[in-house]
Amino acid sequence: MQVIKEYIAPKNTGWATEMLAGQILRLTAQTIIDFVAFDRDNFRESFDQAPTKEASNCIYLKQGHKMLSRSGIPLLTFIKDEFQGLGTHDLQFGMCGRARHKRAAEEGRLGEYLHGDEMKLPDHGCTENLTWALEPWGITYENIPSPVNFFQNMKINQKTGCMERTQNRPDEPVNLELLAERDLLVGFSACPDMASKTRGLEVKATVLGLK
Amino acid sequence: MKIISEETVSPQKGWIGNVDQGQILKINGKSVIDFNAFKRDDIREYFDTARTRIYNLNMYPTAGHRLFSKQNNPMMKILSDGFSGIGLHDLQSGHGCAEGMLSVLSPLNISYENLPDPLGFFRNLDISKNGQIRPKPKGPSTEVSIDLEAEIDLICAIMNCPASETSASAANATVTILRP
Repeated sequence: MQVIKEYIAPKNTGWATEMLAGQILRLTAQTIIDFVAFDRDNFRESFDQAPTKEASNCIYLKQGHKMLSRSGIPLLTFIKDEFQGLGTHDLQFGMCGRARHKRAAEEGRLGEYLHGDEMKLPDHGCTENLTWALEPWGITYENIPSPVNFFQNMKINQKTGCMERTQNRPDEPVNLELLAERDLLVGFSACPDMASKTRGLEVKATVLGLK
Repeated sequence: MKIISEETVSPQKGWIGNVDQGQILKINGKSVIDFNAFKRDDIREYFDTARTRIYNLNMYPTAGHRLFSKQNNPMMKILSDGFSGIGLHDLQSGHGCAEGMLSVLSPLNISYENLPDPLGFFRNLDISKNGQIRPKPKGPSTEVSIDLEAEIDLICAIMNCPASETSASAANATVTILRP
């Protein structure tokens, strides 16, 4: 496999690219990544959390699992997870962003994040990053699905269902590899990650394939 | 409380109707019921499972929780949950009867790709510590009610979907709209 393209997304920015069936997307990071995918020939076939969880019978995305579209078409297979054994990837949350930050502040719930009530909120987040990244393909917010949140490690109480953000992230950048099962448009946001110690870091994306 | 309307929904059938801000939607039943809600003025804004889980910081919707739209706005408040202590409602799965729900939603002209994931009332799941999901076929033994208050003008829809593997029984559901 050779490097087809490579991009470093600075913290709190997004990126989107098309990739072909059989190519591999490698994400190298130690910060939350909100990641979505679409069938390149039909953007309405977008990644969907629910069928993905139903197919794997698991609430986390783990190595070996497939990411499915709303009508159950496999879009990607998660072939390598170097966070395995250290933490879990989230399929419960949506995206952070202006509207969410505003509501959290209004409701006095900023204390749920590491940086607490006094924190200076970023003026945008994953919602805006993904909207801007996908704009060239004519995809609007309404059509951006809830993502898989890589490295969003949650503490979940199985009995009560209560969820709590944790600061568990890789100590140094690790690799995640996703194999495209069909021609795709993929997009991601390097999350401002307000629950972490770092408050977001860059994400390196590499598309690998045969030239 | 004044009853505005009441309708019986047999197994494999659905219901769609308006619920005005301040009105209460009472869903009474014992088999799995998939639920969707849309903002009446703009159906592109709809009840969203992920935002609902975030705001309540909980996987299982119950009394005291609010249902949120993808645009991060509150849509409904769960006032009471007769299933509490018996089992858990589901915010993980897709539709048990997607075609049925699409037919219920046909006045809104929604295609399969745009069908939002539902809240599955009475779809009791067992989720283990490592995240494994196992169906737990344990609905309520007698009919119980869930009361939801609309926080904005809504179009709500249910599909009475007892074919789901997690459902123990096929039973009628009743949908009542009440005004305080």
